[in-house]
Order: sequence, then C-alpha cells, then structure tokens
Amino acid sequence: MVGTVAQRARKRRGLLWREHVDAYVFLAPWIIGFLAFTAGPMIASALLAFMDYEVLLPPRWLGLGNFTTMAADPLFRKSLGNTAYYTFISVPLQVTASMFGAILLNQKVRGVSIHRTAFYLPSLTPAVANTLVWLWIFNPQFGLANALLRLFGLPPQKWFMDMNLAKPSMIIMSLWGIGGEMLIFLAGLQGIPELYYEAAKVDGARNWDMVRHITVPLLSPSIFFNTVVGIIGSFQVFTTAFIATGGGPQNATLFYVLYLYRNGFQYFKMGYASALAWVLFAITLAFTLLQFRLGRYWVYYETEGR
Amino acid sequence: MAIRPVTRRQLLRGGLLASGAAALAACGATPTPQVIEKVITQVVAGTPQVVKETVEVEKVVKETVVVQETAPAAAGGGGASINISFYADDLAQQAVWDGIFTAFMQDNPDIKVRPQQVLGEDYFEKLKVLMAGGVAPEVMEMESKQVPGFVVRKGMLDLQPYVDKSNVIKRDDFIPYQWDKHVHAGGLWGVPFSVSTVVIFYNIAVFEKAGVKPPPTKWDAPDWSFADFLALAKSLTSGEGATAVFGYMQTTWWPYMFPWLWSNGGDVLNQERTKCTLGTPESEEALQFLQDLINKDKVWPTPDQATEGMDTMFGSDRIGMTPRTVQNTSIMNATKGLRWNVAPMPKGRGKTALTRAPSDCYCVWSQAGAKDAAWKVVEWITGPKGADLLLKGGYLMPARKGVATADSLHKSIGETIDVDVLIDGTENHTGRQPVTVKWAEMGDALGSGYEGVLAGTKTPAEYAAETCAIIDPLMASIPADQQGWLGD
Repeated sequence: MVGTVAQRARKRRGLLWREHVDAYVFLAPWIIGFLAFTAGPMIASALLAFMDYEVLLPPRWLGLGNFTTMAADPLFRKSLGNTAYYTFISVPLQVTASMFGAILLNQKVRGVSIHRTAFYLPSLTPAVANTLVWLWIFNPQFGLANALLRLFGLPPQKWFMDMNLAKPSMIIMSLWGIGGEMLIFLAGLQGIPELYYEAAKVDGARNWDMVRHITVPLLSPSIFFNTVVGIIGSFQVFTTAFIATGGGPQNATLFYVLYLYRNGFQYFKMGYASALAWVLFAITLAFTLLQFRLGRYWVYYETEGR
Repeated sequence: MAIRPVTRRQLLRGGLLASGAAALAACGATPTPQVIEKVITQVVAGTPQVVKETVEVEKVVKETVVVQETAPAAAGGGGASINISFYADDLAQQAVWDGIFTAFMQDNPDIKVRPQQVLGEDYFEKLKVLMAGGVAPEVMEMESKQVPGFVVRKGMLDLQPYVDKSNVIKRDDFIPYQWDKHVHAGGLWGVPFSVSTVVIFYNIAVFEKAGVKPPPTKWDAPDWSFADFLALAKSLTSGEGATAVFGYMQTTWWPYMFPWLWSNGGDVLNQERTKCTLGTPESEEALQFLQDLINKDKVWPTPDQATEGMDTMFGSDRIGMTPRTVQNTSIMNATKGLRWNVAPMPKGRGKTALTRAPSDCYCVWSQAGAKDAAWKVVEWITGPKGADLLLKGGYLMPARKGVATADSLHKSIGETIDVDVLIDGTENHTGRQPVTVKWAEMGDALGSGYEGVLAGTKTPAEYAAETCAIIDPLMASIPADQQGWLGD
C-alpha cells in the first residue's frame, strides 16, 4: 500500500517534470529568438547609452555624458515636443473614431462584412504605400484634400509643406489606419450581452443612454487596451515622417524616433541614439504605468463584480 | 519483442529535438564521431575558394560553401572577386556603370566585379551598417564630402601607397582641387572620378516665347549680376495657375544656397571651419535675395505651385532657368522637344561668380580582404579608360583633366551646348563646400532653417542666429586632428 502511494507520487512528479520539459521545449524557439534578437540588443544598447560609440570604432566609456548632452540639446526637446503633440492628439482621436466606427459596424445591416473589410483594409496596407497615397491626397495643387476644401469654398492648404499644418496632416493620416483598433472594439462589442440593451429598452433608455451607460463602460477594457497600445505606438511614430517630410518643414515633423535614427545612422552617434532610446523607453513605461494606475478608476471588468 | 506505441507527445518532442539537432548541425562546424570533415580547394565562379565539405561515412549530410576567400596574389589581386557599391538614379545611368564594369573585366579577366547598385537614399547609412557588420563591399562609390566622416572612424583605406606605385593614377592627371579634397593627414582616402559643376540651365523655348535674349556665356560677364539675373527672371515669368511660367527655380536642398552666398562674398563657415558666418552682411544679403525670388519677386514658384517637380516643369516649358549639373542632361536630352543650353551663375558683390562642383570618388574599405584587387578596380575606373567611358555615358563629367574637352562634351551632352561654361566653371569658378567630419549634422541644422527662409517665415538674420547657435558648438567639438579637410 505504502509502495503504491510512493509509486504514484513518483509518477506524478515524473509527469510534472515531463510537462515542464515539454513546455520549455515548445517555448525554446521563442526564448532563443528573444535572447538573441531582443534581450541581447537591449542589453547592448543599455550599455552603449553610457558610451561614446561611433559605429566603426570601439565604444568608449562616457558615463552620463550622453544624458547631459540630451539635457542641452534643443533638437531633443523639439522632437519630444513634436511627438507629445502627435501622441496626445492622435491617440484620443483614433480611439474615439475607431470606437464609433466599430459601433456602426456592429449594426445588423446588409453587407456589413464588406463594410468591415473596407474599414480594415488600410491597416493591412504597408505604411510606405499608405504614406505615398496620402502625399497625393495632400498635394497642394492636385490633391483630393484641397479639392474637398474648394468644394466648400475654403482656401486650399499646403498641408505637409506648411510647418503649422504638417503635424495635423499626419494626425489626419493616422486615422486611416484605425482598422486594427476597430476590430478590437468590435470584438468587445460582441461580448456585451444583448440582455442589457433589452432591459434598458424596457426601462425606456434612448440609444445615446445605452451607449453611455452600457456600451462605453463594458467596452472600457478595450478602450484601455487601445489607449495603452496607441500611446506606445504613437511615441514610436517614424515611417510617415521619414517618407513624407523627412522631419520638415523646419523640423515641424522631427519626431523622436526620427531624431534617434538620424543620430544613430547619419551622425555616427550610436551611443547617444541608445541613450535616446532608453529615455523613450522610460517615458513610455511611465505613461503606461500611469494609465494602469488611472485605469483602476474607470476600467470595468465584469469578472471583478464591481 | 513488444512494440511500444509512440504517443503524440513523444512524436512532437522527437520531431522538435530532431529539428533542433538539424539546425545546430547546420550552424555549427563541430564534427561528430561519425562525421569526417575534409577540406578541398576548388574554383567557384572563377575564384579559387576554400570549400569545406562535410560527409558522413555512408551518405552526404551537408555541404557548406564559400568559407573564405583566398588572399589576392601579390602581383595585383589576380583571381579575386570584388564587390563594388554604387548609386544610379535610373536604368540609363545603371547601364553606363554596367558597361564600365564589363569593360574592366574584359581588361582584367582575373578579377570579377560584383556590382551592388543602391537605389534611392540612405546609401551611406547602409554602408555604415555593412562596415559595422564586417560585410561592406571592398570598393565604394562615395560623395567626396562624406569621406571625412568615414576616414576619421578608420573606415577607409589609405590609397597613397598604391598611387605611389601606380603608372595610371597621378595627382597631375586630375583637376588639382578635386584630388586634394581627398588628402588628409598625409593619406589619400579616395580617388575622384566625377565632378558635378552647377551652372544655370535655361529653356530656349521659354526665352523665345518671352522675346528676351539668353543669358551671357562667359563667367563674370559685366551684364550678369544678381540684378541682371532678377530682371531676366521677371521678364520670363508670366501666367497663373497650372500653366504659369516662372523665370527661375532651384531645388530647396540647402547646398544650392552656396553659389549665391559665395558669389556675394558670403559663406556658411569661416575659412578655418571653426565659426558660422551666416550672419555676415554678404551672407544675409544673398539669403535675402533668394527669399525675395520666391516671396517678393515671385519668379520662383512656391512648393505648392511646383508640385509637378522641377524636371517636369522645366521640360514642359514652365521654368526658364534652373541651376543643375551635367548629371541632369540625360533626362533633359530624353525629354521630347526640350531645347536647352547653359549659362554661368550670376555675380553678386563678391570678387567673382562662384559655383559648387562637388565630386564623387571611389574608396576602398579599410577591412577589405583583397585590397590589391580592390585598388586595381579603383585604378581602372578612375583611370583614362574608365573616365572615357564615363564621359561617353553622357551624364557625368570626369574629374580627370583633359577628358572633358569641348569636343568630347559636345559629343556626350549635345553639339549646340555652350560647354565652355561648364569647363571654365569647373576649372576657375568653384567654391569649396565647407566639409568637416560633422557634415551631416551641420547639413540638417542648415537645412531646416533654410526651409524657413525660402518659405518667408524666417528672416535671414533669424536663420543665421538660430543656425549659428547650433553650428558653432558643433564645430568647436571637432578635435584638431580631424580638422583641415579642403572642402568639396
């Protein structure tokens, strides 16, 4: 009897061990990839942030030199300001537009799948192709945007060529790619039980009331997710500015990552670029933690039973 | 014997282990007891290479190739394979280079050239990454102004010892300053092959339509001042909207401000390259002149009036004059119905009219394996045969003396073109772009504010104050041993 219990325990431990081994075997490709291609470069860049590394010469220890340089660098402040402007206007707009888009696409109307596909399609288009399309849309002479303005009797604009309009133009352009966020909202909407709406209707609620008191609270996890991911993504905005404006006019679209790229790959200042990258990481992390902290007050998870 | 069934988990685990083992075997060269490793030498694509072949006793498990290129022969790199990177804007330009490389290989059958054409921008960023990764091409086309940044970081090979032994490449065979700009700290870091002298290209039809005489054909002609230029540009400007004709247009790229600054006695940096001089009266006046051409005199289209692009507008008789280089003549000659000619840059209050004549050169990577063979390629391309083919290609002026003559230029770019403007300009009317090892950073600082000057949102004085505040500390940060480049 004792022997049988011991055998069972041994067998259970063996099973557990085998499961652990299996898990790590299956995880191995990702872990190896992560260590080699993500963690390795991260550690290297963390070290390089404290060094003067000119790419073709061995790095030299600099201590906090790169960070003190940053404090006095006007273009660091300019690029950070541009990125903050872009982030804090584009993310709320993207979240709002994608949520209302998802509500519209959640209606039971004929051909809704075609509409959903149409809205999602731009998210699948490569950023470079998107940017080229928008360069034409914002072409001051022949572009669709000015044609639309003329239709309403408004004066044509220079869009990307105007230092005051270049960033707003990029924000408008960013709305083109909200398909991914819309999809998340759509999934969230479909998870809201119909029962709540029926009960609200019985109580005499209007459509807006239902959106305000049922849809938005129950979508709050999706709003939270899209906001967090949106802010992280917006802080890394690069491709559109790199292709459409090259950071101009007059540095109006010199975003943080574009400035980082210039330092690392054009000015031979890979150490400084690494320091910039870690500062960006710190800023992004701070914003993400802040959102998680604030999220406690407005994000509602059904399972919490609050 | 009882056969135990294989569970799905065992099968998956076995599969994973087998794939892992195969992957490790493919990556690693560690022989197992059953594996024999033998090294043989064989010729691959005309190049002797060490080929490692790993065989199992009964069957071939794996074959790996091209482990290491053999060292070049002492006599001059026989049997080597040389990667060469270059840039070409279109297929026609690419064809010129293909022709040059083919001719080289016919002359040097023991060296195989592998061209690596790079289209578009970021060429130099790519080179940096390739060098850092230890896989850069042995021979590289470079803009001469980019060379110092690579030299001080030990990316380039000193070619002076090779020139000392060469019968083909001598300083005296080149336009002197085009050669000297590659000399620093006793070394020669590139051999120039082409010069892009900027002159005024004008559209004959626009002049005929406006009923005005073409500009002079001599540098420093008494009737070719900034004021004369403006009067002429105004007389060529007419119409509105999509059919408007403008007297003048130049790229908004900042180096094109140099001819105007220099011809007015100004510059971006002082002669020692230690201090920004954009704020001198001569520089500010030249910048004001450019700003007025767009915003006050309206002879130069604003960016929103010129969205078709400069070449298209010039080719469709909507731009009268534009400063370009021989590099643009292939497009112009391919534009149906376009008749064009060239004129010198006008003179402001400087001593003489000056233009920019930047060059391109060929360099050898300091870590190149087959250095002798790489030099042979550079020697041939920048030598008489390469220069001759380059000129015949019709889009570049060789940096070698005596190749770009009036006759040869007439043949390559057009019989009716006033080619003396190009020749005299290249030899006697060029300024030196103030090249330092911080060229890219200085360029970005100059470029962003210059956009404001052209847009009329910034006065030249504001531009000078803002930009000099960035450039002065930048110049001060250059160590003494990295200073002293002649300029491009």
